[in-house]
Amino acid sequence: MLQEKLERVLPLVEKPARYVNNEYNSVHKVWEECNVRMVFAYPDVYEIGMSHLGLEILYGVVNSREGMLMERAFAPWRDMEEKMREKGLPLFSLESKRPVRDFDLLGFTLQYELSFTNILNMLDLAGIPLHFWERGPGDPLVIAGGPCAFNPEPLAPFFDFFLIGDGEEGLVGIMELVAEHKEKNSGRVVREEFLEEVLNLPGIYVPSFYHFKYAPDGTVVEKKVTAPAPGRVKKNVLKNFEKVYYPELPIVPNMETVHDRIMLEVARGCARGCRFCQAGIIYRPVREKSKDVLVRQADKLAESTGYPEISLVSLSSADYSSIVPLARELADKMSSKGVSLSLPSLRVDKFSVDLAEEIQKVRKSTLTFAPEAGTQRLRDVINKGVTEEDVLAAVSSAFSAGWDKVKLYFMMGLPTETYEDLDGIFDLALKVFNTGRDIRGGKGRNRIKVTVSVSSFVPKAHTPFQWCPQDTVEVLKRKQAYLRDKFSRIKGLDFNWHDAQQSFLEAVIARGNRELAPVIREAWRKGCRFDSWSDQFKPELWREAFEAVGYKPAVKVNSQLGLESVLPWEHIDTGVSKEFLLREYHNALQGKLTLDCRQGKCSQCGICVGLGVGMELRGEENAGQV
Amino acid sequence: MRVRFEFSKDKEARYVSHLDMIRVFERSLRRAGLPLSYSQGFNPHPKMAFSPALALGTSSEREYVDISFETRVNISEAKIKLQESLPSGFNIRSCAVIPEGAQSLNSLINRAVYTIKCLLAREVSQAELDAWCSALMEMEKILIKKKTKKGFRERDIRRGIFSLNCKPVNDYALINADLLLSSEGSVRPEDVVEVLVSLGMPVESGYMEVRRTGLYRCQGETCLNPMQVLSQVC
Repeated sequence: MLQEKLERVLPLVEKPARYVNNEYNSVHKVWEECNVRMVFAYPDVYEIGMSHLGLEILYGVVNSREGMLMERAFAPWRDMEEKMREKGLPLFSLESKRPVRDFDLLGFTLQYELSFTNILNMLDLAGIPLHFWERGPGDPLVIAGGPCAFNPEPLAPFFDFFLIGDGEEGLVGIMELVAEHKEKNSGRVVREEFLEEVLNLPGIYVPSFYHFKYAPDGTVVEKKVTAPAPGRVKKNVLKNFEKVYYPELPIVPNMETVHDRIMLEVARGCARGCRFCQAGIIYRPVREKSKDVLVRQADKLAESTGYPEISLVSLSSADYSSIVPLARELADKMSSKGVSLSLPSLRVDKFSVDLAEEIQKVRKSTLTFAPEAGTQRLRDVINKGVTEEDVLAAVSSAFSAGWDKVKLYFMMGLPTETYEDLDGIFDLALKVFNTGRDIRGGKGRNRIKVTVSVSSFVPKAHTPFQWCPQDTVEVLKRKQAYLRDKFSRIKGLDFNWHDAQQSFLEAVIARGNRELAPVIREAWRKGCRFDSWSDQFKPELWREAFEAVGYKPAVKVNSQLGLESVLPWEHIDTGVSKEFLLREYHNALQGKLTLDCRQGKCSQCGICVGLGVGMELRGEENAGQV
Repeated sequence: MRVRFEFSKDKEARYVSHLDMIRVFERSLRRAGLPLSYSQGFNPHPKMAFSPALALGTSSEREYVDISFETRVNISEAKIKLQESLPSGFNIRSCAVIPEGAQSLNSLINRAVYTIKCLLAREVSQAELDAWCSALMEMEKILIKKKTKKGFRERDIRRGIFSLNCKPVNDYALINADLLLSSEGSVRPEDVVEVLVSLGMPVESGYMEVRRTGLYRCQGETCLNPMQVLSQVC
């Protein structure tokens, strides 16, 4: 019946391929043969969700297990939502077209804060009560994971539990437990009992066991934990990364997605230690796969997908310890199959560009670098460890090698920033532009383009900058206008900026506590969806939602938090110690650099001791020359 | 070596857009390990040419693609391999080697046949349906407003409608239409329905199912499909 209703609706919506399935390598298991069933829900549209490597990994690992089934659901676009509500079509899974409510588990991935209203919308479309305490025996367990789960509080009332940390083994563990539990309870999940049982698994945070009282600045004044839940939840971490499951038969979408290519994860974690970066903390320690494993996986992936392009995925692929031998061997092997190799997330140095030049045989268009700050002083504050010479050497190499478009990423509003640092952004961009013109002549076919993208600093949980204030929206706008004015004078030098209101909301959620949850619900109720899409974002509705609930966002985001205070996410343990974050905070203010522990001495972040794991480097030789 | 494949596009596949379909075929051919031929240059693209694009949501019994291979392939084997590698909804029906100098699909095809399923607002008889169809066929001129970049343009589609018949099935009207398909101006199945509605046919708006049942090269009374113009069909 659902299928029939869907058929009636599909001709009426934009991009109907988002809602059908049967892509190559999609898995269609027999429902009755599985004793535990889950929907993986991505709170954005199909073409974004299908570009997410985590989905492919979890979909693959769960479906590789006998008796376990995972299907997919994505956020319907506004036109589809309207039709679904009109026709009484519930949120459904792509594979079997069953209502999401029929599954045992509904798992969301939390990739970015501005997707949160979509989660509530999907729950509502599924006919599942929004709050965990309203759910009954007929409802699935609603769970979440991903980077934003490291500050789960703004979403705490909406989830039965969270899985903090690496998901591929953790999720299988959860599903095994659900299967066991169902067998014991004649095929049903007894929610309260299960939530106590699941506490025994690593990385599980069950919000119903935790109660908080907060100060006006959002920090914690009182925390109560009910037994048997632990006071702090340690993240789940994979050991022996190279032996862990990797999907060799990923789904190949029929419609174009954002990252429409093979994704080969070469490493997880990054120890460069940029002080604003949350990924650099929560994915520690660095774990690599060996070259041989990667070459074998690449080979299989090329055959099973037919993609003409393969991308080496990690937080910083050029840092992979034997990147040169790996890239050479892969480029060689792949080119014989007509597959080209690409290196995203280039480091800002000549080494990376020369490497890219050597292996990227086709499609020379844009190279992207992220100096992040305009002056050496500020780059030292954020521990970027990049000099102007590095930047100019990198772009010289790029322009000489034939690239004609360079993108530079910066951040504004970083702690200690002054207008001198903003001038620095312009000056550096201009130097890059002039370097390109000197090399390429800059006329006709040799015309070059430099695009400067400036985002606004967002203080994120678990980083050395977690206590730092964000500039107010007014200040950000003034700084954007200042830069816009400077850039408008140079033709060929483009300036992009991020919506200040969106960055503000991102910070509000990133640093939010449990009292923010009703605001998110209210914003959703008023019609907020797809807040990360600039054309869908409705700041006025959010403003109304804050007022309706009585949550004061500015004081929580635009002010410095006390270093001694308890932060709303401190009961989530990344394995990196608070002492390290504090030390790094003070180092930042003094402009003192901290070396990557792969190059220098141990920075004593606490991860290896705290989690009982170590770095897994698989280098045959370090870095090497191109 | 160039090979023409005839395939159907059903179920979910009818929501694969023309541009996406090109990628779907490229990847399927690569998975099949067939020696696809690529253009030269910075942005090499596979040498493939499809029959005229289908509207999104329209299914088809017979679509065509001409594919260039770098080396000789056994066409019956290629057919099996490609079929195994295609996502569901695409089914290869037949294939044939294209001789040197053969006409391209786009210049060859000038006719398309569609079945259109329309939801009816009330019960109608065969005689009523016949009356609307013949009324349309007896019109001298059928002016259709077409949206262009500079507003609207009127176009006469009468001479592009070659035959039309209609029958009631449950709550639906099944319309068979034989229509002009050419670069100078094709007639869309929706245009035909619009005219029938203006003549009084009680069609419920909002739901219509269109299926292309054939593509042809017609000269005078003879119509051949793109496989029939080739020999050695597999």
